[in-house]
Amino acid sequence: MSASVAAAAPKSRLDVVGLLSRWGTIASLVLLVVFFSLKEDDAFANSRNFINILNQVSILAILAAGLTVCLTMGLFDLSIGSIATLGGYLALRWGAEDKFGLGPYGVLLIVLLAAVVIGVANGVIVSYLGVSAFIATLATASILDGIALGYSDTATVQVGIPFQILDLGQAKFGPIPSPVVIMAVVMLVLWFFLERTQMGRHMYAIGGNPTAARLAGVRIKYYAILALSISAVCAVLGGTVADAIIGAGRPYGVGSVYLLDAFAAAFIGAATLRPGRFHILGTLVGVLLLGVINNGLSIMGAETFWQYIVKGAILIVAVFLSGTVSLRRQGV
Amino acid sequence: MDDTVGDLDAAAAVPVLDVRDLVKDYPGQRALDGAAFEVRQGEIHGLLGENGAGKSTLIKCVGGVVRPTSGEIRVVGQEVTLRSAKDAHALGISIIHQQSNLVGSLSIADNLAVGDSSSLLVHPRAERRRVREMLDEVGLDLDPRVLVASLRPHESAMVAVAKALHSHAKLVILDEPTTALSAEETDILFGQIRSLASRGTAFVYVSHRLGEVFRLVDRVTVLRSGRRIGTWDAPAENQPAILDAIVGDKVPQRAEQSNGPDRGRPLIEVRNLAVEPCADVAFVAHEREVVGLAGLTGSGAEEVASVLSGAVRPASGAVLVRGEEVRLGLPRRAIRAGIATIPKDRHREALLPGFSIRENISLASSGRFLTDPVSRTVRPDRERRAVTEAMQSLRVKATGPQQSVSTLSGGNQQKVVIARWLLEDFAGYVFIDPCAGVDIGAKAEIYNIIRARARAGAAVVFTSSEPEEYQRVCDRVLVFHQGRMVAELVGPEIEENAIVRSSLEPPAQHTLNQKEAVS
Ligand SMILES: Nc1ncnc2c1ncn2[C@@H]1O[C@H](COP(=O)(O)OP(=O)(O)OP(=O)(O)O)[C@@H](O)[C@H]1O
Ligand SMILES: [Mg+2]
Repeated sequence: MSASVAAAAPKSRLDVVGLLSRWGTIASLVLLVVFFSLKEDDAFANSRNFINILNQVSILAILAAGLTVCLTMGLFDLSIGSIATLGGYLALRWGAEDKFGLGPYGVLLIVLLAAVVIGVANGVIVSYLGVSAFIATLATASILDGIALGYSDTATVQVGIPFQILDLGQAKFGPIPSPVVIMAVVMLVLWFFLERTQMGRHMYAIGGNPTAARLAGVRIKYYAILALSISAVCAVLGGTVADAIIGAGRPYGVGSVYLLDAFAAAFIGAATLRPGRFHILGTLVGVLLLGVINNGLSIMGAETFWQYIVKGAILIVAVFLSGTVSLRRQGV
Repeated sequence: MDDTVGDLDAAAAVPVLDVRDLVKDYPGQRALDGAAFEVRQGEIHGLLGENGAGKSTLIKCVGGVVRPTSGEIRVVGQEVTLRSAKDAHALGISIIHQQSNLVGSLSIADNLAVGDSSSLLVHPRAERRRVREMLDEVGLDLDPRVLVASLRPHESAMVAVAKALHSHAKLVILDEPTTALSAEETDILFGQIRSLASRGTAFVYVSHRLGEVFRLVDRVTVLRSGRRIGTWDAPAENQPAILDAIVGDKVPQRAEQSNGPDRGRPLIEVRNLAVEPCADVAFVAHEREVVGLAGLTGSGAEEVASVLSGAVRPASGAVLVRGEEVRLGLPRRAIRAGIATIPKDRHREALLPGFSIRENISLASSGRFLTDPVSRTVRPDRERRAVTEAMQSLRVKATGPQQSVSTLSGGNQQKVVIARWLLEDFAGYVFIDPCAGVDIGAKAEIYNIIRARARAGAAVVFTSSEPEEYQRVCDRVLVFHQGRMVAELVGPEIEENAIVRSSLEPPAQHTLNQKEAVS
C-alpha cells in the first residue's frame, strides 16, 4: 500500500525552515560556544568556566523544568517566581529556628509539602473554579508575595542557618557544585516522567486536545492539579537553592529574576528538535543558551543591557520558527 | 433536467477546469503523481478514489491552498497560477474543504459574509436578510448570530454548503460534504446542486458514499495513488468498472453476515433513560450482539449512544454493564466499566492534532504497554509493535507510526481513531458513525472488526448516518422517532427501506414498549 507511494517520492529538496526549526537552537548554542571560545579562549573555554555556567543556570533550570510540565498541558504558571521566593525564605527561616524540632531535613520536607499545598490550591482554582491558569497563578503570586512580606517583616534571615540547608547551594561533589547535581536529578526525573510514563503522555494529550483526552478517559482536572504541584515543588527547590547559595533567606526578589527566563527557556525548548512541543531536553537547551549568552557576554565585558537584547531577539526567532513548523505539522 | 445539462455540455466545449500532469510531493510521500482531471460547464462530476488517493490534495491545489510541485491548472482555457484561496475565489471557484473552512469563533452571519468582498461597508439589516435567505435555501432554521463553534456537526456542514452554493461561482467543489449530514439534509443539498447545475454551475463532488454519488453525478473520475485511472460518462451503467478502478488490484473483503440469534447474556442494560429528546428509553445489548440505533438526526438514537460513551449526562436513568451500574456523564467511568466509544466528530472528539499516529493510537490503551501499574512506565518497543499491527490491520496509509496524524488523508485519520480502541479488548463498544469518510475497502474492514468483536463476546452498539450500513453489521436494530423507540427489526427484517420508513413515519401510535425491546 504505502510502499509504492513512498518509492515514487523523490528525495525532497533541502527543507531549510524545517531543519532550522529543529536544529536552529542547538546550532546557535554550539556557534555561541565556538564564538566565545575563539574570542575569549582563556577565560571562557575551560572546564572551570563550563561548570560555572552550569552552576549559574541551575536554579533557572530547576524552575524551567517544572514549568515545562505545566506548559505541556497548556497551563501558564506565573506563580513560580513568588513560590520560589516564599519557599526559599521559609526553608532558611524555619531551618534557623528549627521550627518543628525535626531538624533541617524535616524542615525541607515540610517546605516541600507546603509547595504541594500551594500547587494543589492553584490546580483547584484552575480546574474546579474554571479560572484560566494565567490569571489564577498571577493572583496566587500576588498573595504569596504578600504572605512573604508580612510574615518576614521584610527582614532577611542570615544567622543560624543549619549547614545541611546551606549545603544545597554550597557543597561540592568533587568539582561539581550541589546545585548542578540537583538540577541534573530534577531534569532526569521530569524527563522520565514526561517521556516514559503514562501520566506524561496524558498531559501532552490534554495539551493537544482536551475534549479528545477526556473522551479517552484522561482525568483532566487531576492532571492540572498534578502539573501545578510539580512546578510548585520545583520552584521551592529552586528558591531554596538560590537562598542557600547566598546564605540568606530573602523575602522578596529571589524568584522574580527567574520567571521570565524560565518561560523564555521553555519556549526556546519548544523550538528545539520537536517544534511546537514543550519538552525537558528542549528546555535544557534553552536554559544553556541563556546561560552561555549571559556568561560569555559578561566575560567579554559587554554591558549587561546587551544580555537582555540578545535574549529577546533569540526568543522571537525561536518562537517564530517553532510556530511555523508546528502549523505545518498540523497540515495547515 | 438531464437534457439541459447535455445541451450545455455541447455548447461549452472548453472545460471549466482542466488539470494536467499535476504533481504534489510531501516529505516522504507523493500525494499527486501526474493527475489529470477535467470538469465541464454545468456538469456534476464525481471524484472518487480510496483513502489517500489524492482527492483532497488535488482540490487544495485547485483551491490555491496548496502549491503543486509541478503541472498545470486551466480555468476556462486559461492557464492559472493560484497563490491563495483568494485567487481561486476570484476565478469563480468555491470550495468546501474536507476539514471545515468555517471560523468557529465567528457567528453564522459573519462566516457567510467572510470572503464576500462585494462591499467594504456592512449594512446590518440587508446583511441579516441576505444571510437568512441563504440559510432558508438549505433548510436551516438557525439564528444567524449564533457562533459556528456551538453548532452541531451537521448544522455547520450545512452552513458551509450554504456559503459555497451562494458564492455565484462557476465551479463549486464539495469534498465529502455529507459525512456529517443526515439523509434529509443530503436530499436538500442534492436538490440545490441539481438546480444550480441546470443553470450552468459546474460541481465536483467527492464522497465515499457511492450510492449517493451514483444518484447525483453525471460523470465520474477515479484517482488512485495520485493518478487518474479513468473517467466515465453514464456512471450508473459503469458501476462495476468504476468500483474496480477505485479498489484496484486489492480484492475487497466481503463483510461477514451477522451470526443470527446466537447471542449471550445481557451485557449493557439501559433503563428509563431520559436524555433530550428521549423521555424514557430502555433496551439491552447482549454478548455477541450488534445492536443498531437508527433514526433521523435529533431522533434520539445518537443521543442515547453518547450517554453510553459517558460524553453526555442524561437527565435521569441508568446504564448497567454486566449488572453493575455505571456513573453517567464521565467517559472515564464508561471506559473503566468496559465500554469503548468511537465518537462521531473525529477532529473535535478524537484526534490530537500535530501528534504522531503512534501517540494518537496509544492514547486510550497505554495500559497494555506499561511495565507496572504503579510507575505506569511505557515500554516503547511493545507500544510500537502494537501500534504498527493496528495500523496494518486497518490498512492505514502512512509513511510510518511517526507521521503526524494531521497530514493523513481524512479516511486514514478515521482509521487511526478506530485503531485507538482496538489495542485492548473491551466488553462493549459504541460505534458512532465509524465509517464516515472511509473508503469502500476499509468499510468492509471495519464491518469485519465490529463482527469479530461481537463474535469474541462483546456487545456492540452501532449508529450510522447511512441506513444501508445497518443491514451489513447489525443483529438487531432499534429505530427512533422523535425520542421514542418505534420499531425493533431483527435479522432479515433489517433492511434499508424498513429502517427509513419507520424512522420517517412510525407505525401509528405504537411505541415499542420496554418488554419487547428488552426481550
Ligand atoms: N500536509 C501533508 N504532509 C504530508 N503528507 C500529506 C499531507 N497532506 C496529505 N498528505 C498525504 O497525501 C496523500 C493524499 O492525501 P489526500 O488527503 O489527498 O487523500 P484523499 O484522496 O483526500 O483521501 P480521503 O478519502 O481519505 O480523504 C496521503 O497519503 C496523505 O498522507
Ligand atoms: Mg480527502
